[in-house]
Amino acid sequence: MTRQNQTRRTPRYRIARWLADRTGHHTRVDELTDHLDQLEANGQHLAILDIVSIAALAVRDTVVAAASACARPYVANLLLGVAAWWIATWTGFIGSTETFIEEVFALESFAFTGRDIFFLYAVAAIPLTLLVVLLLRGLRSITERHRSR
Amino acid sequence: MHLNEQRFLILAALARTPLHGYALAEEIRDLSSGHHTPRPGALYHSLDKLVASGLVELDREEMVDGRLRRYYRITATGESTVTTEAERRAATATAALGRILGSTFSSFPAHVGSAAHDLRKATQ
Repeated sequence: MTRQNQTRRTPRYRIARWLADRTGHHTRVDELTDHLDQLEANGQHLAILDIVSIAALAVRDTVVAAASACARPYVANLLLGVAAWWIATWTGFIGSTETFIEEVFALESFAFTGRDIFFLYAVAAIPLTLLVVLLLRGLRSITERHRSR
Repeated sequence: MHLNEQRFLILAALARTPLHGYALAEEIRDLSSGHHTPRPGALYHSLDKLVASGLVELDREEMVDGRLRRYYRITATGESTVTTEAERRAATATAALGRILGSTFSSFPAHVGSAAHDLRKATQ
């Protein structure tokens, strides 16, 4: 058994390769795997911090990928929200809801503050968009797996 | 862009010839006399930053064992940045040696001060 075969079995290299596979872009996966191959071929020790550094790169790539995947849906979500608000105001839905709330809670006057609602919606839309994108991607991958069978 | 130790060493290592990731790590180790061995993840993170700031660029890509190997090269901006940084570090080292060894060697370049320090140690 050669030295390379022996080192291939080490859990550290296995973990590092598994993490390298999750670093986003395929050229980066190639680069890291090539780097690990050469380290291993030269019998170089892989420290825990080396694995941590690859994990950090994988996490960073994941965050960047998630952000870029969510950016467009987030903006679309905001625009749709603004459009829905505008239509609701224009059709009088907002006004009648305000009157309804005034009557139900016996208030002298009640009015929605559009600006505050928009900022609240802008913050709430971040986790909402992330959740929807993740759900859609999950559904897509399940469907693709089902088709490939 | 602030050049930390790793980014400075990457630029210095690329000054001579374009290198791929592993070769770059080895060059940095040689350059720093084994004091600095870049961790794989951190090395590529720094390379991304240097590429984004225009100090390093992609030289070429080669297929090796079915995998893409990327070679990076330093840009003209990178060369001038690393030169400035090297001069600044050398000036700081000279000033520090001057403080340590006394005013006698403060006006000499860093390597003269260092040699004087070694000589003093050897004769003690």
